[in-house]
Parts: sequence; C-alpha cells; structure tokens
Amino acid sequence: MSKQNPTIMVVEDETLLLQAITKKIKISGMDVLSCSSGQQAIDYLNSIDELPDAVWLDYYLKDMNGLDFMQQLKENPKWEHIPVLVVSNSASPEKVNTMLGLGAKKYILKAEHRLDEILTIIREFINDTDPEQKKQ
Amino acid sequence: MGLLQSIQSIFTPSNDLEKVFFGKTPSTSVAVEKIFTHLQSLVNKPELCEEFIDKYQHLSLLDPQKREIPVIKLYKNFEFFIIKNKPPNITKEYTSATLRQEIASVVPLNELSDFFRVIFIPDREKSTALFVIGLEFINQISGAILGQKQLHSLIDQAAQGTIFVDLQADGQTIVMPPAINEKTKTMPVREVKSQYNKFYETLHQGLITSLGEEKAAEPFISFNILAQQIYAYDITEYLLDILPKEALDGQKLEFFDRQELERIVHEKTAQLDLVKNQLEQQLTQFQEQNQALEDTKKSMLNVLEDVEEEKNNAQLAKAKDDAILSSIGEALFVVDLIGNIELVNPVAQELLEIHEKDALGKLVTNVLKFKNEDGSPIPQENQPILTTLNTGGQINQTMLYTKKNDKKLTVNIITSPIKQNDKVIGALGIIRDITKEKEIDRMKTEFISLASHQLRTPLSAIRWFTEMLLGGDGGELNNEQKEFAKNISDSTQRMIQLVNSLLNISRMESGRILVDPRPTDLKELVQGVVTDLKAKIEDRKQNLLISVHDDLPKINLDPRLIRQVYLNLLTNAIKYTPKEGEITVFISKKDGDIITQISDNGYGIPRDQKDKIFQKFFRATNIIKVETDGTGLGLYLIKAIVESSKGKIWFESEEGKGTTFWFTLPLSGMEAKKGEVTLDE
Repeated sequence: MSKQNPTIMVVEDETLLLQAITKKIKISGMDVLSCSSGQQAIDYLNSIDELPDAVWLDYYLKDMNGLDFMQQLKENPKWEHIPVLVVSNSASPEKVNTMLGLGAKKYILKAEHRLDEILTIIREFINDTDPEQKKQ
Repeated sequence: MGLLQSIQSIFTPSNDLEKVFFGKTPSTSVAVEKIFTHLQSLVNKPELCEEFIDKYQHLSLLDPQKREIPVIKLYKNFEFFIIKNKPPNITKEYTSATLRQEIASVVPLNELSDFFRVIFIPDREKSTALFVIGLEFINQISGAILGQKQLHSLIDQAAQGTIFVDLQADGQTIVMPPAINEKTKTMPVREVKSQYNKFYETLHQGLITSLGEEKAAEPFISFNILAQQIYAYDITEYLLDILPKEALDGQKLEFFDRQELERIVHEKTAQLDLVKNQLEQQLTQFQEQNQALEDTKKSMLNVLEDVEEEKNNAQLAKAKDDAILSSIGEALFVVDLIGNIELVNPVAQELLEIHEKDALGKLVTNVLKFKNEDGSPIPQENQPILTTLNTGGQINQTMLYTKKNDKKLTVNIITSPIKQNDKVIGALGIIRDITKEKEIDRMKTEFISLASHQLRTPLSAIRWFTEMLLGGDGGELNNEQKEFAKNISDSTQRMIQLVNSLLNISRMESGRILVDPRPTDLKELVQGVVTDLKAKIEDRKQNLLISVHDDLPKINLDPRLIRQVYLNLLTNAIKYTPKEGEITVFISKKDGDIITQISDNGYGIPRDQKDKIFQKFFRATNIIKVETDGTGLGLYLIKAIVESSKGKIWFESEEGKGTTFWFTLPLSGMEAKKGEVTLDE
C-alpha cells in the first residue's frame, strides 16, 4: 500500500514557477513529474507504467489550454480518476465551472496561496481518492 | 386668400389683386407711361428717383389688371417725393395740387381707371367718385354673401330720403344716373358729403341686420385700407367723411394714427429743410448740394421703407438663428410641445442617417429610435426627450442607436426644455457619438485586466521562492537574511493585493461585473468575515461587538460583492484603530432598507480630506504615517458596489475620536445582472 512516496505531475510552462513547485514537492517528501508543456505531460502519461497520484495543472499553457488537457485526460479511462488541481492566473466563473464540470477537483488562483497550502490541498486529494480506483 | 389679406399684401403683385380691382377697366399703358415719364422729367438728378423708375419698369411688364393697384401706390410715393424736394433736385417746387393739375393737363383722364382717376379730378368730384368705388366694394363683397337681389333691396331702402332715390340698382353693377351727377354739381360740397354719408349709414345698418356687425363692416374696412395704401392723405380724408362711422370704429383709430404720423413726418421734414437751408448759407455750393441729396434721400427712404425694414430685420434675425442652429458642430434636434420634430440640424442628419424631409413634423419617437445602452428597448414614455417635455427637467443619458446598415452607435443624449415665460414650449436634444470613447474605455479596461492577470505569474514566483527561502528550504538563514526575505515577502503581498484591487476596479468600471443575487443571511456573512479577520483582531487586542436585528430575513444579495463591503470596512476599522480599541457592527432594518453601521474609536479622518475619501488611490495623511500598507482603492470599490446595489454609503468622523460608516441595502435585494466577470478572479 504505502509502497513509495506519492507522485505529483506538475504541468506548468513558466520555467521559474515549475522550478519552485518541483523543488517544494521534493522537499515535502513527494515525487514529482515536471512537464513544461501539455503535450509533454500527455506523452509521459502514455509512456509510464505508474500513473501520478495527482496533477497540478496550469490553465494557460503554450501549446494547449487546461480545457484541452482535461478533455484528453478524461477521454482515457486509465487516467480519468487522477485528481486534478487547476492553478491559474485568471478565474472567470465560466472557466472555473467548465473545469470543475470536466472533473477538476479544485480551481485556485495563482499568487493567492502559499506553496505549502497548495500542497496540503493536494495531499487531501490523494488521501480522499478511493484506494480501489487508485489500483486500477 | 381673403380680400382683406389681398389688400394688405398690396405691394406684392399677385393674382388676388385682380379681385381687388373687380375686373374693372384698367388704365391704358399709354396713359400710365405718360404719367411716369412726366414725373421722371421733373427730376433733375435721375439717380434720386431710380427706385421709382425701377419699380415702374417692373410693374409695366405685368398684366394691366394686376399692375393697376401697385401702379397707383407707386404714383402716391413718387408724388410725395416730388413735393418734398426742391430745385435743383427737381425742376420747380410743387404742391400735390399743382402737380396733379399739371398731370391732368398732359394725360387724358378718361384713359385712367376709376381708381386712378380720382386723384386727378377736381376736388368737388372726388367725393362722388369715391362714393361710386365704395358702392363697387359693397356690391362685390356683401353682394357675394347676400345675393344681388337682397343687396339691391337694401340699397333701395338706404336711398329713400336721399338724393339717390333714383339710383339704379339692378344687374351686376350699380349705376349712378347722370341726373345725380347733375344734382351734386349745384350742391355745396359739405351737403354732398352728408348725403353720401347718410346713404352709407342707412345701408350699413341694413347690412348689420342681415349679416351681423363683422360682415357688414367688411366692404367699408376693405375700401378704407385700400384707400390708405394707394391714396395720399388729402384724398382719404374725403372717404372718412362719407363712410359709416361705426363700421370704421377700429380702423378710424388707425387712420388718425397715420394722420398723426404723417404730420410728424411733415414736421420733421420741415425741420430738416430748415437745417438744410442754414447749412446752405454756410457751405460751398458743392457741399450744399451733396448734403441736400443725402438728407432728402435718407428721409425718403425712412418714410417709405420703415415698415419693410422692420420686416426684413425680423426675417434676418430668424434666418440668423436658423443658421446658428444649423451650423452647430454637435448633432441637435428640436421638438415642439407635443414632441413633433421641428428641426434636425445637418450634423444630426448625418450622424443618425435620417433625412430632414422624413423627420420634420413627425413624432420624435417614431423617427429617432433609441434603446438602452445594453440594447433593451425603452418604453415610449421613458424616452428622455418626452420626459423632458413632461417634467421640464434636463436629462443626460447614454443610449444605443441603430443606423440603417445595422451599425450600432453608442450616444450620449442631453435633453433640455425650451421655456418661454416659465412654460415648456418644446425641447431640444444634443447627441454626441461616444462609440469610440466607449471602445477606448473598453480597451483600457481590457488592458488593465490582461496586464494584471499576467502580473500574477511573476508574483507567484517571487512569493513561492521567498516562502522557501524563509522556510529554510534553501538552507538556514541568519537573522538579517530572514528579515530581508520577510520584507520581500510583505512587499509581494502588497503587490498581490494591489493587482487584485486594480482588477476589481476595472471590472466595476467596465460594468461587466456579474451580479448573482441569492437569499443571503447577513449575520452569517458578517460572521464569516469576522472569522477571517480574527487573527488580526486578536493580534491588536481589539474589542469587536456585533449586533444584528433579530428577525432579519434572508435578502437577495450577491454574497461575493457584499462580503467585499463588510471585509473592507472592517479591515479599515481594524487597521486604523489603535491596539485595544473598540469596533462595533450594528445591522438594523428601517423602512425598506437594511442599514449597517460600522464604528471605531480610531484615528478618524481629517476634516479637510473628508470629501476625498471615496476617491481612487486616496489615503488620508494621518493614517499613511501610522499604516503604510494600503492601496487607497478599497472605499472607491465598495462605494461602487453599494451604489450599483441601489444602496447608499456615507460616514461621520472626527480626527482622533473615531469613524462611523453607514451603508444601506434595499430589503428588496439586488437586481440580477448578466456579466462576464466577478470579483476575485
């Protein structure tokens, strides 16, 4: 069960932010899959055996937006149960509702939270997720 | 056009003048030509009588029937000119009598019309001639209403007891038998006039019985007006003696006024002559002549053109007003009391793509169809121009106008009443195309929004790296390093707040904000805010008292917006009240409003800055010293929120003693509004 540390996939195209998030996750004792583009994240998911326990998704990516990414994730039955946290610099009700409607767990604004607060939120996701589903 | 009017417009030759002249035989062209050629020959300086000759030339081209009356009038003016001038301007000095005599000797009088001939016949015969013309007026005007038969029976009655017992009044005209002419030749002039007058008086009474006073007087008034227009004073005097007094009641007054006027003109002219004579003795011959010319010409023009000049002045003034309105660079329209369009200036025609001919006289709301700024229709009675007509107040409103090609214009309309003696007699609207301004405003808002959102990415980086630095994730820091990193962290927090505030302001200003009212428990909402602020309050050891009206119903409010108001006012109260201060919140119900009162015993607002407190980026001088942190945007934002919720916000404050803010929200709740954005995105 507690085989190893949980793994978090971070999709963020801003190098500095990706660097900060990656570092913090590692320091917090979790594993991290850093992706600087949406396509890179999809490729990773396709190629690895062990799926991440959660995804940190930046809404605005250079190659696609959060909507496209979520759709691809939800289309694949193997991936659809991975909890997703959307972190964006803009949160119009439209965007928020669409992303939550597509199955994102939470939508938060960039710069409004400390890193450790966000990691706490992600940990809760992982703990809440049904272990049965996780095994699939 | 009635006969009266056609007589009054006598100076303008028109078809109606034929009626005045009753189809009688006009003067021959030869005779008229002779008269004017003779008059011209009496003037030594042709340029002095140029006007008369021009006019004559113009009239001579007209049909003899049409020109007759204007020609007689022209003669009157020319005659007046001759008798008012002296050599060397004219060949010799004339009186009207000597002049007429001279003309009678060179022109065959039987070639002149009855109307024209009167002027030149011996005085003794003038009464008779005028009497006959008067009969013609009665025959034409009253005969047309009564019928010839009844009129002639009235004439027969009037003739009883006068020398006209054998007046022949049958057929279409009334004929004076030669016997009467014979009789009058031997009677004293006064007696003749009295006989004519007696006849007319009786006839007038008869006409009153059949037609009533107004109609009965018409032939006499018409004749009198015409005579005053075309005859010199000495001739109209005859008429006054024979026409029935009662019929001319109002007219007589005018007649005497004119008599007085002419006397004054005579006197003034005489005075001018005197002055002129004195000058002549002192000045050289050349100057004398010049002066005489000028004086004479001026006085002549004054006498003849006064009335026309007045008319021209009035027309000029109106034309000028019209020109000013038309030339105004703003689009403008004017409506009358009931809302019909009276004027649409060229700028408005171009802007709104309408043609004057499609607009004038039509109800304004049928021509200019304005909608609300959001495109929703406005009921007719709420159209600003009609509201202004009804209330007399000025309205300034932004509206939408759709052009023919479906292109939409955002316009600002200011409507103002047009008042006369405090009564609204119409309204005018000024329309300004603000489509571009709105577009620029939208772009500005969009720019701020975009820029602010983009700022969040680098701010996150600073915030998170500082967080890790302070958390020791990059190795333990010494105290000074910690202090520096803490400063960076605080500043970053401020910057984040500033970005949020700017975004909120731009959302409020753009009007794109979404209002999503739902039943809200205000007590719960306030307690939620207080929970968020608890740490700060405890940190400052302040006392917070909250009192909420017991049975406050749930109100339809957008909790995100109203939360912002409470959060802001409470944060201010905490920040700007010293440690261990008192903060109270009262929420009560009064009439149709919920009133919230938030008081503190803090630093207060300086008296001289009270009017600036709701301005963007304003912070009072006393609190900047105490608390550097703050954007100056909070109160500006919440005022916008409260007012857009149809509430009010105000405050009282004394420096050093504390501040109380109040704001109201209608119990009926906020109106839902579709929008693109919310606060805190």
